[in-house]
Amino acid sequence: MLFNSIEFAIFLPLVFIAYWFVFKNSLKLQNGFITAASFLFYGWWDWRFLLLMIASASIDFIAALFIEKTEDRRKKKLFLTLSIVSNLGILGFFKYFNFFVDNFSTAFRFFGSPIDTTSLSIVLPIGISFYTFQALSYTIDVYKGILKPTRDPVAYFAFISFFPQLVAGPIERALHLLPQFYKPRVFDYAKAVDGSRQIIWGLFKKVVVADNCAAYANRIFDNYTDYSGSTLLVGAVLFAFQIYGDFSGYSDIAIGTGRLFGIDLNRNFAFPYFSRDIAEFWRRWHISLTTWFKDYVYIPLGGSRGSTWQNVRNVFVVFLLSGFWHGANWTFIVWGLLNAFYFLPSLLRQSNRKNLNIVASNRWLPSLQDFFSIVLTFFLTTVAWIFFRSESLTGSFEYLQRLFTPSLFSWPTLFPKGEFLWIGILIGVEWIQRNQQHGLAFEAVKWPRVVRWSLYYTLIAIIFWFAGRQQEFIYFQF
Amino acid sequence: MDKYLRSLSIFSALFIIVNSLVYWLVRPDVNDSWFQLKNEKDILIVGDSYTECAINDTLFMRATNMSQPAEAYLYTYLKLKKFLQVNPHVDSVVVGFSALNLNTFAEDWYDEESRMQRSVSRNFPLLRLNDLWLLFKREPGFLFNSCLITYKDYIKRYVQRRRISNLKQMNIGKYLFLNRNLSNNTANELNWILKMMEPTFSQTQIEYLRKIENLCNERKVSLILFYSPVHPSYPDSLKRSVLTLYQKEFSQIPLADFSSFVLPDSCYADLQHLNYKGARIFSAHLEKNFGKATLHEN
Repeated sequence: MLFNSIEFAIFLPLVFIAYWFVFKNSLKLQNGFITAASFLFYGWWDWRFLLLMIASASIDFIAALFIEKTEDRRKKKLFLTLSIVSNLGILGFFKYFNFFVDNFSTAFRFFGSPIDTTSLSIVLPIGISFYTFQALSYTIDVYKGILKPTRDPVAYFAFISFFPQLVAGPIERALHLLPQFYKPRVFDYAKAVDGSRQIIWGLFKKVVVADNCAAYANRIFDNYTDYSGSTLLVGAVLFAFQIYGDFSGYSDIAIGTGRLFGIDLNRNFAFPYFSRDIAEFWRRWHISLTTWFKDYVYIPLGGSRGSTWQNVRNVFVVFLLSGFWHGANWTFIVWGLLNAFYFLPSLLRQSNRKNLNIVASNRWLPSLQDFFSIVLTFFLTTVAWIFFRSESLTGSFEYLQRLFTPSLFSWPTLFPKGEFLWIGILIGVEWIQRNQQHGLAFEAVKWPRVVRWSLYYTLIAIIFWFAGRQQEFIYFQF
Repeated sequence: MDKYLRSLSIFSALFIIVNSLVYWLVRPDVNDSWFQLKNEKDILIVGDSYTECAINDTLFMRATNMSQPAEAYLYTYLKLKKFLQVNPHVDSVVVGFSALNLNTFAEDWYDEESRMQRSVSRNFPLLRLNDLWLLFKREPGFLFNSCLITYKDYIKRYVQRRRISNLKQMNIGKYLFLNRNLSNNTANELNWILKMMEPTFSQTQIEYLRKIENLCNERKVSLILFYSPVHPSYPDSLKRSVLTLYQKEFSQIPLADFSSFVLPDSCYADLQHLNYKGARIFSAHLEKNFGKATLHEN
């Protein structure tokens, strides 16, 4: 069930009403209901995926109980290993099996010993990377002793499957989300209204910005040999906003929906295209994944405490894994590595924590230096997105090769003004709102109702009127 | 919670009221007179592209051809209902009845996104709640988009001062003058036809054909099922399958089977459709023989 579908438009109000009116007086029933609704939401794609998710999460539930029960360190480790291996095993099989088989086969052929291999026709269960990481964080935190395992399977499955964030995040930590299912939720008017606004803003980003940009980005990337350098640049910029509108739009809808149910989800995007360097970009882009890797990979590897060489190694490992997490394709791996290279200078100069504040926080406009830093960071990120978007490494390099030719300075043959208008509005609104949690966050009391509602109606009208052709969320494939 | 629900209800109600008012303002003001046929036009032809291309109603003078390419019987039914209501003088209804109409493939005429958009958009003023419900049950998202596109189109037309104001602008059917000749290589088309045709029939099409039959019975209008001429290379198996269905389900309705009507190659646009030359000959034939030999041609 897509957020931007009629099915969801029916599903959400029904679940909302039942949640607050029918099951309000019993925490257990409310948790049970939200779990059932989440299962329905997920099973809508394919019920077999649902069984897989339940099986995978059940292993973690049981493993966590055993980890707590035993005093023996070795046994604790064994149960943790069981949880990690089973989770990564399932993820590996569904997501990476064919990738490894194909690459082994290519490698053997390269060394003159061709082998017979069989690729399997495997359908990737939607959102598997997201819920696997969420479930993994649960057992790891229990193992570390920072979280007590739950004995309440309903609350646990509510945490794993909470439908707003199930298929594309934010990847929640048990420490943050699980306790919210232990206590009765109280409806908070201000939160619900703000959540509703965030949903509208997310829909605008997804339906108007991302889906419209997608039409042109797809056209340019699919026929890159036909276009000039300048048009390829336009394609790359459009994709940069497509992926941002798509994914941050999804996150906004997820977080806003969560708030309607009295559940706070973690922020996933903090206006990343206003970042002044790559380190800042990665503190603002897909925050829940970045912090997951930081907490469960980077810090256990030693973080930034070791020698320079160890620091560099740790950063590369994290970016490499991050790239690989996105998909079984060398393009994602190179995308991750490229970001690691981008990160390297600031790491070596120890300036990676330089830009922790919000850009131009007390001014309307950025300083010239900030402005150029933002443009440079955006440019680097956009170049990296070319790898992310391309079908193959060869395609990425060809795209870049054609991009950086003298035709880069000609007028693009494809320049969709309408799409750039939406991008301009997106940038403008988010720039004004960069101190807030999302594009439509404001203190309602300061604005008269007529103004607020007119704004909402205008946005809704824009969403209906200018909606691009419905596209599946890009991150569903991860 | 109450406050939130109250605000949300008022917000939604206002949204619905404003949009209903806008819709009321911009919608085509469909008038019965649009559907009024001349008194001498007492035969109504409906169907898909087969009949659309085969019958030139300027030559077959008693007839009005309101066929549309890939038209599902649901829309045919709605159109007929309106025409028969406004034109009591119409005494015969000819409905396209071919392998394409009845094959499971025709389910796509209801469900496929772009087809639904086109059909809903054209027939929107004729659609009733239960028809919308049928489409909603099948493809809710596509129906929503189709309605939205129709609404946007009405607003655009209103702003540009070109509101739909007659039947022609509604674009719900006419004879198609097809100026194209049979290609030398028909193998591809033949493969395509064979590939898309499944050995099963569309239950929705059958259901709506029954509704058309009932409608004609109620209005005391003769209903004739009509297989338009197709090229000799057109697979016989398809014709046979439809005839089998006819014998089983609709044998009480007269069938005018012209699928083997003899015409030279120059009269075909492709294996399934006549071009204007074929339509000219075939329509002249109907003009001369309708009511006499039509039903017993083959």
